[in-house]
Amino acid sequence: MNDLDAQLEQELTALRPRPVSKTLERHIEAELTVHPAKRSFSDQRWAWAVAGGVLALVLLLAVLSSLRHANTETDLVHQNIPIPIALDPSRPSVWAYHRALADPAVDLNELLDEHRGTPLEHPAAQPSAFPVSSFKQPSWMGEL
Amino acid sequence: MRQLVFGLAALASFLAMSPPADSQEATSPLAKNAALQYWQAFSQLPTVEKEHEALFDNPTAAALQEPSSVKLLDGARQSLIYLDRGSAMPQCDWGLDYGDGVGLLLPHLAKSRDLARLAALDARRAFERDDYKTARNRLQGILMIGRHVSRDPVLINLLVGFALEGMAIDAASPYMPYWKLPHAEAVNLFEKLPRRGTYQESIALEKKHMALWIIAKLEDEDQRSSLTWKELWKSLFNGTSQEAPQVESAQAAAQMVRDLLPVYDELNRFAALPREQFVAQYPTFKQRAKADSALAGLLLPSLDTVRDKSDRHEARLAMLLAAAAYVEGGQSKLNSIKDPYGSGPFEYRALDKGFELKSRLTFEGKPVTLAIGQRK
Repeated sequence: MNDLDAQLEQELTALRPRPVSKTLERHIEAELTVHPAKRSFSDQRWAWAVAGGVLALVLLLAVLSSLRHANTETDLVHQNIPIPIALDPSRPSVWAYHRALADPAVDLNELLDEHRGTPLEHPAAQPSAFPVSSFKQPSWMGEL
Repeated sequence: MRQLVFGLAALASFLAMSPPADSQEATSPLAKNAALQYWQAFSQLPTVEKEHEALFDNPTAAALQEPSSVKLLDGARQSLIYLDRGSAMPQCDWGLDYGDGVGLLLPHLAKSRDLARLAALDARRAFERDDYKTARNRLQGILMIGRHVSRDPVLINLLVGFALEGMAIDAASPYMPYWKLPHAEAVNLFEKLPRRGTYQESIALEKKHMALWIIAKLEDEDQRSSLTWKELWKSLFNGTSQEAPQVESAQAAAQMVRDLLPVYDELNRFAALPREQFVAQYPTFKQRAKADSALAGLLLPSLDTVRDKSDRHEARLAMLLAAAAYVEGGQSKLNSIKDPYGSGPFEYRALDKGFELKSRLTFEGKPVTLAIGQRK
């Protein structure tokens, strides 16, 4: 080791770090702070696509459900009861009972006895017969 | 954003996983309709023969033991199970379509009467066997179907409801001294029953679905043919002693019915009157209405007939409850209960078997009474 080396070593040993400046502290602090990763434009598009898809599915289900109910309702056509049947005193109708009650002497039990029969006992309510020769006879029992 | 996605996904999976409405496993709220149970009861009713009519009229202990009576009641067992099930359900919808107007069918009325009649016989048989639990179930079933029938405020439904409740009163009254049902429990049994339709509701219903239905029908038929409205007009008077009034057009006939509409509103006022005032004022009103309109006798409801029968029923029901009070606490307890048609308690009279209570109310000129403890 020569004198030059010894002098350099001495100088180096004497060196001390400078105190950290405020500016440096701020820079380090800024670098160490964890920032949430910024979503890319493609990520946002994906999220909107999923949300849109789910929303569309929900709307589709709702529409299908309401259509099913609507179909059921529109299939039912309200048929009016023909007048001769509506005013037939042999049927247990509001009119038959109303007329019977106009007589204060009417016996309720006898009145109910009169209307014990089923409406099918009335000839007008019987299903009309179909010709035996018909090849397309309706099945009253449905398709079994 | 993420929360929105998760929320929608959860909603979609819930919709996908929930069973469809027509799934067999799903219990539909429609199933909780007592009428469905009653109709099953009706479908299983045994055939009532001529010989059974005497049993219904005079259900003595001996008659209940006759083989034909035993066969009848054994045959009714299935129906009575369905009655029990139906009567346990507070909701009942008979599915009446009031749009049918005067043609609305009420086939459940006669069937309900038949079912209640069998239940009353079965209650008597249970009382005879000191099986008070079964007897009580049967009575409760009758009372419930009675109220369920009268939930629709058609006048005949109200009357049938009173008649069914009357069957329960008739079945219970011979056994009250032996049953010893506490008064508070008896009161509670009736207070828990569903409400009946009211007179006011009934009158409003008749106005809408009888008078207004006829007006609409006349005008509708007139659009179709000049003949069919005349058929309708004439048919309305079939079976009455009255000739159909001569009218020149469907519009004139409809106007005659329309002129009657304000009378329905007046009827509502009468329906709300206390009995004394009703009895004093109604006959004059009825006479005037009939004089003013040829249709009054045909269309207006027989409010006086129904009122008489319902008041008689209310008096009998109050006397049954008063009988429970007498059995529990003697004359002093009976005195604490007021006759709803008088100013004091019911009149008490001892009989060789049991006792009789008498109300101040009269029906067809005679005081309304209830015999208690008269076992036959």
